[in-house]
Amino acid sequence: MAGVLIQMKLAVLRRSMTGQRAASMIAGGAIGLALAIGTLLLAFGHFQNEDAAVAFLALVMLVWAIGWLFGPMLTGGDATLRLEYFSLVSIRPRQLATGLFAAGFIGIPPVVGLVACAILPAYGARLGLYAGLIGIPAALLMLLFLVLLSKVGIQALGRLTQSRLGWELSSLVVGFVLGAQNTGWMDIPLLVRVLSGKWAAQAGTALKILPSSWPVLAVDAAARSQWGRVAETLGGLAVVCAALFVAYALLLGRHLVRGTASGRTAVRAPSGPGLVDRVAPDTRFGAVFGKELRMWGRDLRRARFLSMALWGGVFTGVLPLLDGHVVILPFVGITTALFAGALASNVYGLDAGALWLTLVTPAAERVDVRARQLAFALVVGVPTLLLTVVLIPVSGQNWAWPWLLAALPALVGASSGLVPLVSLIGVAPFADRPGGSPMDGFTDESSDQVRVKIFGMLFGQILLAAPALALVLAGTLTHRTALSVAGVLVGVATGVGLGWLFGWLARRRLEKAGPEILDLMRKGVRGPVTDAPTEAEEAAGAMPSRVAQEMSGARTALVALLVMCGILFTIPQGLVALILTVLNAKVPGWFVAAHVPHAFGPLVALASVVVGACAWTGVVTINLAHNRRQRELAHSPDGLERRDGDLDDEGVTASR
Amino acid sequence: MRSPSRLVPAPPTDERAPALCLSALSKRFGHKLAVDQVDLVVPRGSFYGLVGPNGAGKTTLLSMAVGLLRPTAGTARIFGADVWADPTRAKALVGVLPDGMSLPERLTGRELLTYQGLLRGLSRPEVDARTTELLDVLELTEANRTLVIDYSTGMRKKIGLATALLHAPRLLVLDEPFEAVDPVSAATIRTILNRFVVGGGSVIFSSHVMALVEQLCDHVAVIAAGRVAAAGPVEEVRGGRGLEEVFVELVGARTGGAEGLAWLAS
Repeated sequence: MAGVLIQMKLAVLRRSMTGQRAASMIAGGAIGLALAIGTLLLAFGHFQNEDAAVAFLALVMLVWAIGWLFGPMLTGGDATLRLEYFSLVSIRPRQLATGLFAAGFIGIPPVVGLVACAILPAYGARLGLYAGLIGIPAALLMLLFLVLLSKVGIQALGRLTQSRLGWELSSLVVGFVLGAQNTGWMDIPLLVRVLSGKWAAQAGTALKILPSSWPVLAVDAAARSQWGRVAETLGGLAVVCAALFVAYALLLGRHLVRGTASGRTAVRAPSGPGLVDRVAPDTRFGAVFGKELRMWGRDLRRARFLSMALWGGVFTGVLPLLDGHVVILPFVGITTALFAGALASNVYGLDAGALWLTLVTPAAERVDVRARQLAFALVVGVPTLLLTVVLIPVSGQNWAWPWLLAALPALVGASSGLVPLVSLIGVAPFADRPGGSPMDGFTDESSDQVRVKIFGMLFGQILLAAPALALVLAGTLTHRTALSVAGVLVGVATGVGLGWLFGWLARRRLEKAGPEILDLMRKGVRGPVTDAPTEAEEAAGAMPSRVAQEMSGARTALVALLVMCGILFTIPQGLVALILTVLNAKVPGWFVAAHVPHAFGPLVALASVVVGACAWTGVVTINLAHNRRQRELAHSPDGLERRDGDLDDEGVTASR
Repeated sequence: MRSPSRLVPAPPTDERAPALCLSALSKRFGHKLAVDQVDLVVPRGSFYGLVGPNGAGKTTLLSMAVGLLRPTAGTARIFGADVWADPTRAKALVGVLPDGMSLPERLTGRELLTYQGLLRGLSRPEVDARTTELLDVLELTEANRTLVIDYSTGMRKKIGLATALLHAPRLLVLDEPFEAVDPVSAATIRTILNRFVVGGGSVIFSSHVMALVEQLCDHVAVIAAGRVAAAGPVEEVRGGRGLEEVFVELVGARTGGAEGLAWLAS
């Protein structure tokens, strides 16, 4: 059984190791491996005493355990072997659990985990031969523990997401992680105080109780020749692993019987005319507007995006409060808007093939785009504005008024146009399936496309708010209120103007390339490989060769590199450094901006943002060029440009 | 019957143009011609059946005819209006049921029809009246509060048909309308389509069921490997034989399944 599943997974992985999918896997693997090697190197660090070393390593192991538990919830986990494949095979859940668990050791993440766990024998070797030897089984048990933890976590989440409450909880987790990424570092001093001050003993004890610390304790005990302790800790971890495995098999058994998809959807339409009917007028515009408002509430995926954004914003503002920083609190609204815009950047993709309804209706494109824009602006704009208006006075950060009143309208307005436009470029369909899980759309080719879109949107939105913010900055520096007020006005104007412009571009795209977009929506990003062939495809026989549809290896690697540079230069080295330098905060040593004279700090940070933006532009350009070629191949001569190029020639060129 | 709204079409200006006229329509996917220079005329008031084996290009052809798939070459005209050059006029005259269609899953049947009706420019009272009647006739009233995502395949087909009928088109282009529909609903749909044709409308639909095509249609086209193998009035194409017999002969297929699989019965 295990052998068959491992072979199956290897076959799927081999198929996946091409094009964008491979790029995403390699990029993820590279980041993971870098972290793991970093962890491993910690084993050779200098510690005050052995107790401090044990506490530190236990903390590191805890971080890895948390990563393995929650990581799959963010990324969608490993969906190479889906449970549905086995629901009709006569096989006992425990047998299947064994097989899937064994297959869980195939792939990049277990390698990353193993490298990280190698910290145990490495640290043990410093203490002595026996400690080093005990470190080996400790590392293997720890890897077992991590793999089981992620398996149980994702299955439990699957159970959870069969209810609306569960969806909400899972978005809360994601929101927490987003918030922690943004401002969690502001609590590091707090954490240090807790771990070193009068709470140190308690914190240490609490840490030692966690199973993730037990392999570290085992290595430490081996160094002291406390063999009973070694047996206790390693045996204990083995028992925990066994318990996790039983839990995993139980959860699998339930899923196999009931199916991961629950029969009914959680939402049922109300009987009478609802609020939406009263808000939306009885016009063509009102029809789409009303439908969109309903979708934002009823489509669990859209609702989840909104709540993820909201929780992300809330945690961004609230986490610093733990250590007494109120300065971030007013930014809850705008952070929410930022995340909402980024996460919603695939709004047309969520409707997938339902786009045909718009295309068969005469001249419906303009109405469709504009109504979507207004619905988005309303759904996101109103709550985030309220949050902002309430939280500025509550936190007493009155200096934030012009900044936020300038940035928020610019951001929401621009993203109301970017959301439809971006979702029509680099089409990434996610059909709404009965009982679908929140993980749908995080694990296939479309999701790689969407990840690029989300990152692009995050930075795009910030850049578009820059002109208004520049005026407010000038006003603040020169102490001229008029300039700040002008900044707010410019913010509103940019929002309206860019919203109109991007909306117009989206409409143009839909009008000109509607059928081509619909085709991609129906077939998927890599339809010929992933979906059952439709009649059209069967008729087509040989689709444009797969090789031709995928990017070349070199180009793929370039995209991965550019994405990494883009992230690095725009966020930490750029925006974070910019804020720190402007606020005159102490800039940590790994920021480039910390190493130049103080006055040049902001300039260096800005330059870094520009470099990052260039990297993103590169990613988008390469992606666009690739998509265009793909379209031309599939529909040549493309109706968009009606080129009369020789198809065979183009295909050969593309596959070279 | 028609509301005076601006988007509901005036009768077509070209009184002699056929309901649907496809000329030299081709579609190439990569190296393969899915549809190869197809000429097809659906006369006004005709009930037209489109038959062909799996993968013959029926769906591709119908998608190009209504503006959902851009042809590589050739033209499609609906009552004289070019689908690709004058889409607004052409689309107003046609009702479409695509194959394997997605729908806005989180709307109820009624909401979907209301949304489509308003988007088509019908007035609210008109939309409400037509929606109620369509849901009633298609026996979807019970499912009034059910979201489309919870519909069965047959119910999806019927709500799709309702969206095609809602704006009172002059031509219906239906891809496999009877597939996955129970016999009672199929009878209902047949009656609706017959009434539509008697009332002056034109229908073209694709199907695998020869008996159904023989029973319903006055015209038929047999498509094989992207080309029209035969087309015309049903009697003419049949030539006194059964349509199924003619079909098998035309597409040059042989029925399989007699050999192999010895282990299956053991």
